[in-house]
Amino acid sequence: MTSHHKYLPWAGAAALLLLAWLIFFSVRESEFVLVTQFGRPLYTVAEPGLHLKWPFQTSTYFDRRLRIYNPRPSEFLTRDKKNLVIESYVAWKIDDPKRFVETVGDPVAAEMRLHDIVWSGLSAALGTQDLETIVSTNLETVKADAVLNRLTSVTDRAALEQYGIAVVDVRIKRLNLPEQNKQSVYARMRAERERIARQYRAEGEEQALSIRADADRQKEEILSVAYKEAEKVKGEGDAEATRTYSQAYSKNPAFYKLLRTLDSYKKIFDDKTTAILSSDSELLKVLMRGAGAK
Amino acid sequence: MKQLDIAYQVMLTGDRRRSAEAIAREAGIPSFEAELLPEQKLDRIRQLASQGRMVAMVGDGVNDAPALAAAHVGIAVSGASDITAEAAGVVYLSHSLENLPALFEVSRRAVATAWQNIILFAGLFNVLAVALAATGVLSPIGAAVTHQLSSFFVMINSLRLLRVERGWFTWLRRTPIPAMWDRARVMVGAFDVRDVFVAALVNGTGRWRDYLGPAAIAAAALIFLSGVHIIGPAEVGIVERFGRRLVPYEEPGLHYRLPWPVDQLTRVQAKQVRIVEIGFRSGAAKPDSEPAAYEWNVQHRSGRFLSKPEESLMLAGDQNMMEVNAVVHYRLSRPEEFVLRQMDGESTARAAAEGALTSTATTISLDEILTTGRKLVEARVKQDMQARLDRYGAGVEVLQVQLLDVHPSVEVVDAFRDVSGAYEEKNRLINEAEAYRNEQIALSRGNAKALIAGAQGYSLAKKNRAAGDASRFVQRETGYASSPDLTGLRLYLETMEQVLPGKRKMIVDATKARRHLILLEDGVEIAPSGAAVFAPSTKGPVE
Repeated sequence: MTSHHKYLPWAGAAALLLLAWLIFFSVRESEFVLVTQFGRPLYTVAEPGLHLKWPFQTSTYFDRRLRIYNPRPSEFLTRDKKNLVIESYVAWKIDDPKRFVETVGDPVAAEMRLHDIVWSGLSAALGTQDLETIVSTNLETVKADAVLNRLTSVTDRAALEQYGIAVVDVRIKRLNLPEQNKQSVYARMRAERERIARQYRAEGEEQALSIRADADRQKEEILSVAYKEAEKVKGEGDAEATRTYSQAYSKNPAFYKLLRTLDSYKKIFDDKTTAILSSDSELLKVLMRGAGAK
Repeated sequence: MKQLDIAYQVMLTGDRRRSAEAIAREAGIPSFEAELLPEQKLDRIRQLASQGRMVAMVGDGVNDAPALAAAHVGIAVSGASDITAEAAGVVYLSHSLENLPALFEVSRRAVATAWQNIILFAGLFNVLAVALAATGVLSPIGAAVTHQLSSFFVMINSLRLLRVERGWFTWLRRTPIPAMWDRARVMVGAFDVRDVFVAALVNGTGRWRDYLGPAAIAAAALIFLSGVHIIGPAEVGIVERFGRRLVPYEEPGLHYRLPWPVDQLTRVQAKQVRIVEIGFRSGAAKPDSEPAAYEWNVQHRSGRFLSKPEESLMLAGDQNMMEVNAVVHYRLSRPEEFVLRQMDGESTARAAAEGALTSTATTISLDEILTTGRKLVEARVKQDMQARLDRYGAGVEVLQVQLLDVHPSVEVVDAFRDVSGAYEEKNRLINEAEAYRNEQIALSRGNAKALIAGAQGYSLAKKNRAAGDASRFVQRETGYASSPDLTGLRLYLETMEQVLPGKRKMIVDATKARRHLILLEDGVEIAPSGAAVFAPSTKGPVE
């Protein structure tokens, strides 16, 4: 019997520990604790620290940190019938553990629900927008952020009400065209580049031609001006020469006539010339009539 | 001794036969050989050993040393000389030989236990565990535990030896050794539960509580000390006391926290600059497969980079397809938020980075991002990403966003290259035309100068010639005027002399030649009146 008494304090201490274990529970900043009694959810504890409950109550932990859910990329149609492949991400967290555990249970199931909500929300939102309002260089017409903000708040309201989930953000992560459309975009890009390339080449030809023409014009101008100048100089020379000649020859025109005529003979008579001489010419008078002939 | 299955006992002694016989009888040794020299003892042992027996020799004297060495097991009795003890395999401490059987038994059990340990636990058990681990039945952690378990089993198995002979231990306990040993164990040994276990076994059930107190204190000290920890240079430590976070968080250095379940420590690599890679992952392949240069159509598809085309391909604001590779550097400005408010902070940062990049890319034209808009895009992505992360409470500070490789889709790269080719061609055409212009103008200028110079030369020559001619004429005229007829005739004749030689001449009589047709050899018909055609005037040159 005594040996049993010996162990009593130990047993008491163990029981106390067990009791402490059962009635205390700690809550971290990153989690919610839902206290249930025989399976029935009672209340949620969000305040971090040490808390008390009855030993027969159970505490269930829920991670309240922000999660990022990446749905598979899916294809959507805009109002102007353009297809877009959009990969979105949803930032969400558990906000109401009681509702969450009742309606969804675990994060994987929650993401399936979110997938449905976001898909339908995104389809509806994009269906009312032209592609120009989502993809455009004109910042004033781009309304993607506004559309997504509205989608976020709609999704948040629905998810919170139905599943106890807070949707912090729904955003487009990647935006692309379906494979087939890509090809036609590539074709358009090619055509565009070809247009620019051709324009460059044509501009090159244009400028080259005008430069060449201008060069030719300048050439003609320079040469003609030079010709004008040259002729003027020549004329002056000629004029002065003529003046000089006439001044000199006017002194004795008969002598000039004789000299010039004789000079002309030298030039006119060449090898092929046959001279038919009259016998009474000055040159032959002596030959025909003897000396002393007059 | 018989019970121990020892077949043959013999007493070898150098004493007289009579005294030896008396001792043998008293000790109950069946046979003896007396009056032996040490050499003879040695021979006897060798002889026994050569019969294939296992021989044990017990002796004390110096003269026993060779025999002890020759025996399979040499046992030197306490008080034996050093040389003897050196030669023997075992030193038996008791003066009396009464416990000799116990020695044999303990030895045999020890050997048997050693073999059990080797074969069963070190061998079979481990081989089995290796086989299980190889087939995947046993996880790595399970394998590690199993390995430790085999050591544990060996120890447990060996502990059985301690229970062999209480009497022997009782004797051992009389020495001061166990007391010292135990004290040492309590001082050091509380760190090891196994030692408490051993002590309990050694001392029997009545004494274990003596050790419980010290052991409990040691354990408590150990638990308390387990709260001492070091925060590394790149880390911070977040301590939660019953879930409530303590502020401020722990900077690098030596720190203390209360043991589980009070405090919980989370280490965060907070000082480290983290990276989000968009469109590629670095460190994927061997560096030697790196291309010579990362051109547009090579891009991050090979080399150190693993391309992620689904990330890099995106739609620009002008609805062109482009590929963008970017890298984002960020730091944890509030590590506690990064850990306690984000399920996976890194994936939050990645989502924000990709979202911000897409959002910016869809509002900027391809040409702009390729050329002048880069810095603008980087700034906008950084701002957008920071705004998102602040909204998510990620505790992240975006340090920088860098666009690495931005280019049009690979499919249209050639078209883009053609544009720059065309631009070059345009410049080439213009340059060629410019060259033509320069050449032509220079040439024209040269020609123009030549023309003018020629004209000037002509003009000058003309003038000079005129002056010369005039001067000559004036002087000749002066001479001529003195006797005009004579000079006229001289000039006439001189000219004729120059002109007429070497030419065919026909002389026609002026009086008879009229109305005749003169036919020349070449058939040229000349009117008869022309008989004087080339003749000088009949009147002569001077009128």
